Amino acid sequence: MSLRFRGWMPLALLSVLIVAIAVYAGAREPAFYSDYNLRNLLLTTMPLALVALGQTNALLVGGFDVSVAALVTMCIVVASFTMPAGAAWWVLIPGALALVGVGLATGVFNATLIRVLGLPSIIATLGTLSILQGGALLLRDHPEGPISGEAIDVLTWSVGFLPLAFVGVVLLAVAADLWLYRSRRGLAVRAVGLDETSARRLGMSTGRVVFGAFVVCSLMAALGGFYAAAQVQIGSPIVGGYALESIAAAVLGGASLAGGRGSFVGALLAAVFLSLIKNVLPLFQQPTEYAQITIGALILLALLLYQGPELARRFRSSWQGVGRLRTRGATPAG
Amino acid sequence: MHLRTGPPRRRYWLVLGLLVAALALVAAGCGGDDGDDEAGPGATTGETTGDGEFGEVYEADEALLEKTLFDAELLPEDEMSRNIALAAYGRADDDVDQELALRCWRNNGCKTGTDGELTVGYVEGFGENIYREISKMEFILQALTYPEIGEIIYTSAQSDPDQALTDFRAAISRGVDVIVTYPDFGDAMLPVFKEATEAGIPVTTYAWGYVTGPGENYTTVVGEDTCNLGKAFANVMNEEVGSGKIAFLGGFPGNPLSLGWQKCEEPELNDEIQVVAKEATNWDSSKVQEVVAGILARHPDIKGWSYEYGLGMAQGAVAAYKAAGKPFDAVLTMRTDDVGLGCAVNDLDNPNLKVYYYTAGNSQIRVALTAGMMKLKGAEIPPEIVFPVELQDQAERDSCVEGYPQEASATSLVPVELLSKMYPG
Repeated sequence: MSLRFRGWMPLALLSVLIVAIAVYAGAREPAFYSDYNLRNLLLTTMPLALVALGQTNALLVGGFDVSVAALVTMCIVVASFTMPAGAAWWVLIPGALALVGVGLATGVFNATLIRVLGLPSIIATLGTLSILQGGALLLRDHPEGPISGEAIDVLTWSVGFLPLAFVGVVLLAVAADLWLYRSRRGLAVRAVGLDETSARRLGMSTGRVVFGAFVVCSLMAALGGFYAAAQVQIGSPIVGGYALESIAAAVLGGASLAGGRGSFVGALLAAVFLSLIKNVLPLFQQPTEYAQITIGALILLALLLYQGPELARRFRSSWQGVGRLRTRGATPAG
Repeated sequence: MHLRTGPPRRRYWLVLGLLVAALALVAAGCGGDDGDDEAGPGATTGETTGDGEFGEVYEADEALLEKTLFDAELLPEDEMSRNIALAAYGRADDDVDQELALRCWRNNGCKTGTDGELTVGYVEGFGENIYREISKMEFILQALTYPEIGEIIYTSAQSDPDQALTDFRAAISRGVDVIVTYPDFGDAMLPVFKEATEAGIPVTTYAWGYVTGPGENYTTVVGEDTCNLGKAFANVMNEEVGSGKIAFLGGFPGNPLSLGWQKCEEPELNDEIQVVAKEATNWDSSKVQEVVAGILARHPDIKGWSYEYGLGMAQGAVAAYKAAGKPFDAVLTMRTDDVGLGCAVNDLDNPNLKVYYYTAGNSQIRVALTAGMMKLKGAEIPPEIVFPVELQDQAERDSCVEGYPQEASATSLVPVELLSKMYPG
């Protein structure tokens, strides 16, 4: 399987699945094609899509960021204080910047834990997740504090069923893929993810690349927080939780768990696909357990399909190792 | 072509029969009031003669009211709320197809087979405990008393707030006619409540699932005022505990039910009573055990517990006390009257364990559905349908009812034979 084909496969597969499900859903339940449903589908995709784009950054450099789940929640809670209902625009702008600041601070904190203290990314971000969760509950122990309706209107402004922000995310994903595959900086990110030691020997500032990737990941999660806040419209300390879904979206979109490979457009398509499943199941009166099973099965399938050659290589290498051990074990007795 | 004609004698009886039937139909059409014209089976059983409107009859059997409310007088005070409750409980007496109800319960929805044009939905954030499952069955049984309801749908978001919003929006997209819900995520559900209301869909909540703006953002909230429940809990604690440490347990963090009674119990307590812990349990028995064990370790001299979920307390706290090697000497104020709690208390046979409980209120979901149906027919629904609170003393009114599954509530209106099929063994 050529590298070029493997790069395109996730995009093609996800596009086919999205179209197939949409056609089937629309044929069986006309409500699926209503403006109300399609707009909601795209708006509910927004937070996951933004977090997944960020998560792709972390995966590209061979890490994970599970703190994004609580960061989104924290942003919703902070928005209920800094962007309250009825606030004037001159309050809303610094209020929105406060959310970006929360994202930036979290990203710098995570990156410091990972690069300066040398903690594994999953452990470092798990700690941050817990701190942010507790902090969100401390600020709001129950959903309260309505968020500015004007800000929500701007965030969710749509033409027909199409939210303009979604168009923005599509453009962002395309630009990010062009950056990843057509720029020196993108090449450096992939090189660090594939083999950090070699990248360092080649003179790349690997520390800065990893640091930047985690900061961008948190910033994207903070942007996702704006759209999660627009969904729930109140300071809820329990809404959020995109950690596993964002990793799932990035992997389904073609990111390698070992780092060095991924696609922002793929992550966006996967976010649309995952949201589509969640949207369609209740329309057909199907329990949400099916969504969880489907997502889990698809992740495994994606790993097999996209990373089959690596897995086969690892299997062969392990098998050869076992064979050598058996041979050595057999010699003295034989 | 041959016309089928019977012998003259048989034809005579046939004509006479048709005449009698036609006269009966005319009499029914002239004699029935407006309510009877639109009423479903609930109003046409012939057992009720009360006044009614909007397809309902405002009368219910006294024994049934006593079973579900402890006392037939414990109905809402204002007239319209009282009428809605009577109409709902009146329907609870109707015969419905229990096999269909069971299928509907197991399959999370069904077509009712009446070809009715309406679809009603019970859409909740979390449905994976016995309390919610029984509420689901109460909802289905009530829906089956309306021939105009052709489809019943049910969704649980399995504790995922984002999925809860998506499920609600899916119900709106599908054009569900009435939505009944328990808002597990509190005011986080407000956007979708408003969207449904804007789309002309009545939204009602039960078990005092209070979200801001009933009557404006959604149709109505049904249940006991949880603030009054908290005050009733405090009265018991003041009298039975007097002084010392007590703890509050709740469901999901931030859920309106727990917050409602907790914020009103605490200020009503004696100065000598300290609330040493307020913990969330997600209404999960194993978490109750974990939480109670933790609190017991820190405060072995704790004297009282206030909580909603009786069965969770019976399963979790009894195990925690046992593991700690302590006798379960405590005063419990519980919102639910689960059979398992009463039976566990009876088994312990400990005079120092005093249990006071309110009704689980599963049947309140029937009132919520009937309120939604009446709203569809043009009724003015009060924004709050409030039931008075009167706690029961386990020592005087045993909630361990023979023949009931441990998981059931003694005040549930789900027939016992159906409960046995829902929870065999």
